[in-house]
Amino acid sequence: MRFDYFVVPFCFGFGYLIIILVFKYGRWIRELGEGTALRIFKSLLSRKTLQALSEIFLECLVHRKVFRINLLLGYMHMSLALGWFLLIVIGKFEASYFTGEFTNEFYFPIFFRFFELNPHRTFALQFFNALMDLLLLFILSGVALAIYKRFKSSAMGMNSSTRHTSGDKWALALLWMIFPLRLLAESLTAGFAGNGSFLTQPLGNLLGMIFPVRSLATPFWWGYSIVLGGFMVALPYSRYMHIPTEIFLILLKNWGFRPGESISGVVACELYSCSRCGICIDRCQMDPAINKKNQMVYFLRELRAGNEVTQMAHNCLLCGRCQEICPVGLDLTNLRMISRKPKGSFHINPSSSPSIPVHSSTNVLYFAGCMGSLTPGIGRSMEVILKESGENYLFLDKEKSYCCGRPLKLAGHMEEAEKISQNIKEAIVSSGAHTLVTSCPICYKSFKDDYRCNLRVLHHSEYLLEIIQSRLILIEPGNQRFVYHDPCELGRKSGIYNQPREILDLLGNITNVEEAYGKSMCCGGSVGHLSISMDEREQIQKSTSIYLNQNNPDCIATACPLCKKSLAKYSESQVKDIAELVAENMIQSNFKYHRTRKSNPAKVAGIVS
Amino acid sequence: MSKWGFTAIKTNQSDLDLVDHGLIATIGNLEPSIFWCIGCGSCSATCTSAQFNNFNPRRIIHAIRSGHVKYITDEVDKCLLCGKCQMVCPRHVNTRNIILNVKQITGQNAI
Repeated sequence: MRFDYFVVPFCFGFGYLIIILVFKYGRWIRELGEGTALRIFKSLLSRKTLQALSEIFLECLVHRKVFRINLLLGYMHMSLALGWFLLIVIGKFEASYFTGEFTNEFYFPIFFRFFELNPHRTFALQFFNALMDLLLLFILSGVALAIYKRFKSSAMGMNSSTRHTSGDKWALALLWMIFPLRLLAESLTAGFAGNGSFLTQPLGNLLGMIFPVRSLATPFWWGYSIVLGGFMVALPYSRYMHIPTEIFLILLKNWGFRPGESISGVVACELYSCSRCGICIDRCQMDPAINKKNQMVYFLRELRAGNEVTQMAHNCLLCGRCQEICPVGLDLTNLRMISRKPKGSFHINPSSSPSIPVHSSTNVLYFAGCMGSLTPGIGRSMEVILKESGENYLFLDKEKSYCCGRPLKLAGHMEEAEKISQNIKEAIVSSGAHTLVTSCPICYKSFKDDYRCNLRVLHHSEYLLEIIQSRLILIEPGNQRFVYHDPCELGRKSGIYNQPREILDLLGNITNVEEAYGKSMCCGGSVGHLSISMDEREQIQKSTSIYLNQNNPDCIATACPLCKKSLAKYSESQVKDIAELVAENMIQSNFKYHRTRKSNPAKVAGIVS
Repeated sequence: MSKWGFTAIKTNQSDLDLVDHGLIATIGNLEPSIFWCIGCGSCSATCTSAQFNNFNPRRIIHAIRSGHVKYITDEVDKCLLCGKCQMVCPRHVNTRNIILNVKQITGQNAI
C-alpha cells in the first residue's frame, strides 16, 4: 500500500464533505414528499437521466450559458470546471494504466507524481503525463483570469461583481491556491526524479538549480493536501456548495420535480445551487445606489444563512430579468415570492370578492382586467375587433372590474389569492365559453397557470393573430415604424414573444432594440413591488422610455395596459397597445369605424349610445 | 326638534385631544408618502374592491391620521392589493403599501 502522512488532510476533507452531502441531500429528498423514492427509481433508468447528464455536461462543466454572456467569462468558468473534472478523470485513468488495475487507493491518482518517481519510458505514459500537464496549464490560465477579474470585472462584461463575505473569500483563496501548489509540488518532485512533462519538468529543473528540491518537495505536497482538504471542508459553508448541488438540482428537475411554495426540497436545493457569480447584479433595474446589496445574489445569500429577509423580499419588481440571465437557471422570482409570506394574520373579507353574474352563454369571453379599466382604449378596441370578427363574445368586466388575484399572490398571499379567484372561476365556467381572451398579461398568467379551467386561455395578442390569420378580420398594411416592448409577465413569465411581433409585421415595420425578448426592460409599473417610492418608479419609467425611444420610432407598441400607462408618461413617441393598433388598421366591412373614428371610437363600439 | 320632521345629525368631528398618534407615527415611518395625501379621493374612485362594498382608501388614510384603530382593522381586510389607487394618485401616495403595512401591524396586534 502506498501511503504517506501528508495525504491525511485530504482524506479528512474528502470524508467530511461526503458525510455533509449525504446528510443534506438525504434531508432534501425526504422533504420532497411521499413516493419520492419510487419516482426517482422509475426515472433513474429512463431517458430523463440521459438528458440530465448532457445538461450537466453542458452547464456545469462547459458553462454554455456563461459563454453566451461573455466569451472570456465563459472560458474562465470552463477552464476551472471542465479542466478540474478532466484532471480527476484522466488522472484516474493514468494511475490505473500505470498500475494495471482499476482499483487503487482513492488518493493515489491525485498524488500520483509523488508516489511514482520513475521517469516514464513508454509512449502511452508520456502521453498521459503531457496531457495532465496540459490540463494543469488550462486550469492555471483560468485561475489567472479569475484573479484578474477580481480587479477588473468589466473586462469580462460585468460592470459590478459580487461583494463576498469573508467566509467566501477564504474558500476562494483556498481554491486559487490548490493549482499553483500542485504545480510547484509536481515540479519540485520532477526536479530530482525527472517524472515531469513539458510544463513541470523545465520548471523543476529550473528550481533545482536554485533550491534543494529533494527536501522541499514533501512540504509542498503537504501544502497541496492541506489546501485541498481545507477547500472541501469549507465547501458546504461557502458558495462552492453550488458545485455538487447544481448537478443534483439538474437531476431533480429532469426527473420532474418542481420548486414548491416553501423553503424545502427543490427550493432549498436551488438556494444552495446559487454560485454567487453576480451576473444578476447588472440586470437589476432597481437603483443600485439606493438598493445596495439587495440584488438576487445577496438576497439568496441572506436567505440561505437563515437571516430575516422580508424587507429584502419585498424590495423587488419581480420583473424576472435576473432569472432570465441566471446561468444556473434558478427560479428566482418564485424564491422572492415565497419569502414574502405575511407576518401577521391576514384575511380577505368575503364581501370584497363578489360573485359575478353571467346571464348569457357565449363562445369567447373577454376579460380586460382591472388595469384594463384604467386604459379603456384597449377594451374599446377589442370590442370593435370582436364585433367585426362576428364572434359571439361577452365582455366579462365591462361594467365592474374584478381582480384576478395575482397582485395578492405577488404580495405573498397565496391562499387569499386562491379565495378571491373562486368567483371569477365560477363565472368563467358558467359562461360556457371555449376561449378566454384577456388583454392583461398579469391576468393571463394567473388564468393560465393558477385557475386550471377547462378552456383555452389566450392573451389578446395570440387571439388577434389567430383571427387575422383565419381572415376573420382584414388588416390594412401600413408603413409605421414600431418598437415593441415585451411586458415582463407576458414575455419572460409566459413565454409569448413572437405573436405580437407577427401582428406588428403585418401592420408596419419593427425596429429592433437590443434589450428585447427575454432581456426586455421593466416598464417600472410592476405590481410586484409594494413599497417602492414613486421617485424610484419614475426613474425606471423614464430610463426605459428613453431607451425605447432611442431610434425615434413612430410608435412604441406593447401588449400590457400597465406598460402602456407607465411608458406613456415619459415617451416622446406615442405608446399604443397592440389591440388599438389592430383596430386602427382594420378594414371594416361597413366602413363605419373609419368614418366615425375621429369623432368618438366609443360610439362605434356601442359603449356610448 | 323631531316634531318638525328634523333630526340632529350625529356629529362627525374628531376630538383632536383624543387622537392616537401612535398609528400614524408607525405607518409614517414605514411609508412616509402617507403625509403627502391631500384626500382628493381618486383612490376611492378607482378602487376595485370599492365597487362591491363600502371600502374607502381615502377614509382609511384619514382614519390612520386620526387613530381610529377599530375602524381600520375592520376595513383593511377588504383590500385586494391591486395597486390601482397608487397608479391614479396625483400625490404619489403609495396607498397599497400603507394598507399592507396596516394589515401586517394589526395582524400582529402590535397596536
